[in-house]
Amino acid sequence: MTKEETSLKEDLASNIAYLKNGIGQSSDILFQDFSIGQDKTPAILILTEGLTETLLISDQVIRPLQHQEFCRKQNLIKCISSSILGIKTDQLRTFSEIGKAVLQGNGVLLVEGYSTGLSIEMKKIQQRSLEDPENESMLRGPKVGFIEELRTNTALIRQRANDPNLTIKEMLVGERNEKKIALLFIKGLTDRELVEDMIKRIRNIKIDDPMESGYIEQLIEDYPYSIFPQVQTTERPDRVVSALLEGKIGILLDGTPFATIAPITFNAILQTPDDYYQRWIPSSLLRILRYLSIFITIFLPGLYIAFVAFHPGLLPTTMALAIAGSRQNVPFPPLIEALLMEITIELLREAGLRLPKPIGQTLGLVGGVVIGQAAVQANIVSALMVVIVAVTATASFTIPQYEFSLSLRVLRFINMISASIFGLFGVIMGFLLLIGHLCQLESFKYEFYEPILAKDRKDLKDALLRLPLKLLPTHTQKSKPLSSKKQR
Amino acid sequence: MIKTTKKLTMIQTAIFITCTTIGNGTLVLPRTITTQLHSPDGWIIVLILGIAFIIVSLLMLHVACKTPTKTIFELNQMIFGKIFGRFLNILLVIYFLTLVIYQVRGLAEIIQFFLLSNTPIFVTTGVFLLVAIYHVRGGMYSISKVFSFLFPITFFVYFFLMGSSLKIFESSNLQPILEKNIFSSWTPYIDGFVYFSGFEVIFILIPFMQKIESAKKALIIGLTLPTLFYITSLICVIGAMGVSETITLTWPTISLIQSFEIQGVFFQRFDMFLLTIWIFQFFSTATSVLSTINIGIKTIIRSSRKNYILLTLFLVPFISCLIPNSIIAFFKFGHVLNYGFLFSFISMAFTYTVQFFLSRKRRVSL
Amino acid sequence: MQRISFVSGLALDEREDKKIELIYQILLPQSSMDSNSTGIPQTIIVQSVGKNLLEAVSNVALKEDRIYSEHLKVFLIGENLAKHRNIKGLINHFIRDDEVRRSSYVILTKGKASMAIKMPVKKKIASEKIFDISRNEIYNGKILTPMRLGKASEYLQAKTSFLIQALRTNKGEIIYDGAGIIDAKKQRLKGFISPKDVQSIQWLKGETKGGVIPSKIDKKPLTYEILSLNSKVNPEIKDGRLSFNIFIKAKGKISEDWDPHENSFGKPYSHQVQEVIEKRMEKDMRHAMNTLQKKYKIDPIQLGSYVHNKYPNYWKNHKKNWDEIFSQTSINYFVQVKVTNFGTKGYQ
Repeated sequence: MTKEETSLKEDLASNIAYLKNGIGQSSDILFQDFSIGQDKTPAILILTEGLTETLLISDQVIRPLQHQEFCRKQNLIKCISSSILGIKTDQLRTFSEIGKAVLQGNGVLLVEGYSTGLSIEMKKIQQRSLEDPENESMLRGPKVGFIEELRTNTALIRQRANDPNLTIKEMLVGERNEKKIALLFIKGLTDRELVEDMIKRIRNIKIDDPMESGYIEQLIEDYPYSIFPQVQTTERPDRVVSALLEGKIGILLDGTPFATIAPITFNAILQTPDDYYQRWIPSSLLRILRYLSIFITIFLPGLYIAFVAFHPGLLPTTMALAIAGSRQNVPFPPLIEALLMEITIELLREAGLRLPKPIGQTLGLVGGVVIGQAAVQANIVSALMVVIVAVTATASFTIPQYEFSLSLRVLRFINMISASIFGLFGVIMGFLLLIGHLCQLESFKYEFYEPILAKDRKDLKDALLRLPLKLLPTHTQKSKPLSSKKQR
Repeated sequence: MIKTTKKLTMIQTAIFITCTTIGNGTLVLPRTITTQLHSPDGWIIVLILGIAFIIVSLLMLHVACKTPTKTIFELNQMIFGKIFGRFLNILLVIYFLTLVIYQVRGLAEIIQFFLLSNTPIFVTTGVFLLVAIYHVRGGMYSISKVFSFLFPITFFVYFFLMGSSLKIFESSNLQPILEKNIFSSWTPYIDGFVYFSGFEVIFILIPFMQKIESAKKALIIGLTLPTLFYITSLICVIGAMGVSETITLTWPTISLIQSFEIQGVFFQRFDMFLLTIWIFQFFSTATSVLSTINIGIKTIIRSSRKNYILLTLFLVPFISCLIPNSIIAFFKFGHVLNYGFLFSFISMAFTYTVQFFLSRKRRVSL
Repeated sequence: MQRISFVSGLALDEREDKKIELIYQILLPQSSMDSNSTGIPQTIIVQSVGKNLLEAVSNVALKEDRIYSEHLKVFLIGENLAKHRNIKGLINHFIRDDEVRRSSYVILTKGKASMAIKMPVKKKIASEKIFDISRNEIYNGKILTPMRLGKASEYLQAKTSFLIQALRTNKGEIIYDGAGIIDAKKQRLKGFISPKDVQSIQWLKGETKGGVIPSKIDKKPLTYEILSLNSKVNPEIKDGRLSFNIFIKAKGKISEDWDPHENSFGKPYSHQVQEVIEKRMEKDMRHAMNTLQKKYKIDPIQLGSYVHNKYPNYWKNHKKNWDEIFSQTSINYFVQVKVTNFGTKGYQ
């Protein structure tokens, strides 16, 4: 959509008439006329009600201008902006610039006889107070999350990372609704090629309105068809800062509290900053637990189906008997049983998200316990199946990154189906396919997944276990392998 | 984070070689060698073979490292000219194809017998090959990452199982040592020869390595590990079950694991673990050889129609796997493979010998 | 999964009409929600008859759900069947089959095997009970090391004679009772040896894991409990004649002593006790070997393998008539017993 690039004329009345036909059609656009100075030069202040600070308007703009005596007729606009008004101003020449300025919350001053308008900064920012991010609660760590205003978010980062090399580069994205997007990186630490690549990708985004960082993420990824996300989303400033210190890039979008971090590796998805705030033995064990949960959440129902339907001989005798006993009156084959339970859990999960809070919690309890118990007693599913599904669901919640757990759910279903067709062989083939995909995946030209044996020695100390902080490389040390590898 | 360099480290190369070499061998080796030998000394023969291979291949590697950017396929065409070089490469590709077919068919047999008795073989084979081709598509580096992930699992599970089999181990089954003269006939050696097939992949990997100097170390490790696996398999199987019984078993190592039970917490039947890791290993060998064929074909026809090559890589083994129609035919196929490996080995040795003399001539003439 | 039959034990018998009878003990799964579940697995007995083994096996499909043998723990072979039929042929099917584990135990029964498996037992099912008793080796030395199916197959394949644990049924009880000798050449059951002889043989081979030796000191009862026992079998060829030297070292404790003059705290008494036990052990072992050498003229304890290892040439020449040579060899015993403990009371 092309915007008119018509320029202002010197005649105030015709300018106003033009504008009133454009943005003036909306009732919240105000045209306040007054006269400037002793000469009583006619002037109009155009502003959007609700976006501007009412106090500012009368105190700091209109009254000083009405009483001004300093500026004489020579270049009134320039004189006003440099000497009278103490607020940041911009000179505008086209109607589209005026429209944009007004709609962004600035006030625009038009004076009779001048073809230049003055945009005066008087934004009132609607923002909520800083809160603990709900979806990423941690036991230990700062209880601050991003909010929707870009400026506040960058300020939060700056408060935590006062390294002078921390660079924030802002760009505009969006065809119809332009939004500011900020790229954060630490100069000298982050690979220069990566930064340039990222800038290029963002420039190439063609979208009407980037409403949420999710849009941005999907449009800059290399492998949009993969199940795994190649970026990380977070609401926490401390996560962004630690990512920056690892040489990654942070992306903040105006209008959403969710920041994006790129590139990421598989391990990064399983790590949380409070791993580092706690002592090393519990942290290492928790990390191992998370790896275990990934395995459980993808493969447990599939394995159950494989064993029960294809290879009951591989289970110990008493267990096999118990399972056979609990499945005595169940009319469905194991796959259908598993699918029924899984789908029920998914229904409960989605419903819990949409419902208002008080009902949501009750429903969770009711759904989980009552439905499960009733289903077992009605012999629709076996008791063991309920246990397995519950354990699987719990395991998927231990994964710090929500998008990742979504991917894992899909994988779980695929795994169940392949297990029901091919038994253990199907599970193994599914596993191999998954590994193959992981190993081929790249996140912005960085390896997504490196098995332990393929790692650099320095990264090993942080890979599976989290060794004591004294032994971990400091970030200045880490930057060296990064820079030595990039020169190839 | 590691930026994608697409180059292999020493450990990755070593694992690559190991995964390609250990295929069918560990499961079947105890029977075939002991049948030829009629004594429990098979492990000594494997040890000798292993050392011999390391020495000879190091010699070949020494020459190969002089031209570090060329795979053996490219070298063939460079030295012997376009026509004969291409012809040689085609023969090598055919040998590798038969290797793939052997592995895939072997896997299908095991799966059908132990896991899925009702699924037709072409389904198992088809699925397997599809997944393998998907991996080949990712390139050598991704494949080596997959191996770096799978191999430690195989390693630990295997040695854990073999260690537990010591419960039923009787050293008297292995004695007396060297009762028969092991040098009395060639056949056990020729038989054991084929179990080292696959190590030639190092000559394709050299251009992909980060540091050429570490190729020698990688090769030594890459050949020592399979030798270790084979020796362990032989010692444990014969030690537990004795020569006469081992000769009668189709899959001796699997029968070994079935022979004892560990009163464990969760699983009593551990042969499922052995089968799982062996599927991983068959898979590794097949994928590795398929990617070798991929490179070979690319060198021969000099085209980058990636998808067509991949389609051929899938179809040809898929159809050929269905040709042997019984397990006996399958084992006979293994014998044919013996000669194929011999050919491949000699051909590569020949190439490198010629290269050696050519480079010498060049140096002398300077 | 609920539609297959889990077999826990299998009894093979020969009926009077020379047909083979198979008795399967099948476990019934129980739903834990069932109000009459007692916690003990229920079993049913399924019987099948055939002219040969495979016919009997396939005849089961005429009656029952698909037999699933992966949990088969115990094979009971009846006396008559073992005496008349080729055992190698009997187990051939089971070795080939993938489902049957090579680790299942094989046990002979004196009399009909079906009697043992049908025995109603409290708290356990018959096949499980039989399985579990075989693990009591630590407590009673008269139990033979359990014979796994795979091992039996190995011995039969190598044409080596071996022993299989035997049991009998008596008034509703299952009792382990000695062992049966399987002749490798004929591949049939040759005869039984008594539990006491089994114990002595376990000592001889150093395979015993425990057990109690009752004897007499000054005509008063004395019981010695073995904690550990090592044995070394050394064949020796002198002037072309083969003899065996058997060295036994045992460590154990006195668990019962009625001797009024007991003074275990003092050295001379301990020596006396040790001598008594040593003599007893030698006597028992001689008796056992006598039975094997003179009565049965067969070597089911694989003494031949020691000869094979030490004198391979001799073995090559003589292995064909090993059993005859075995019956003529003299055996020398060197027993050394140590009392490491005598409990909380050492003086009377």
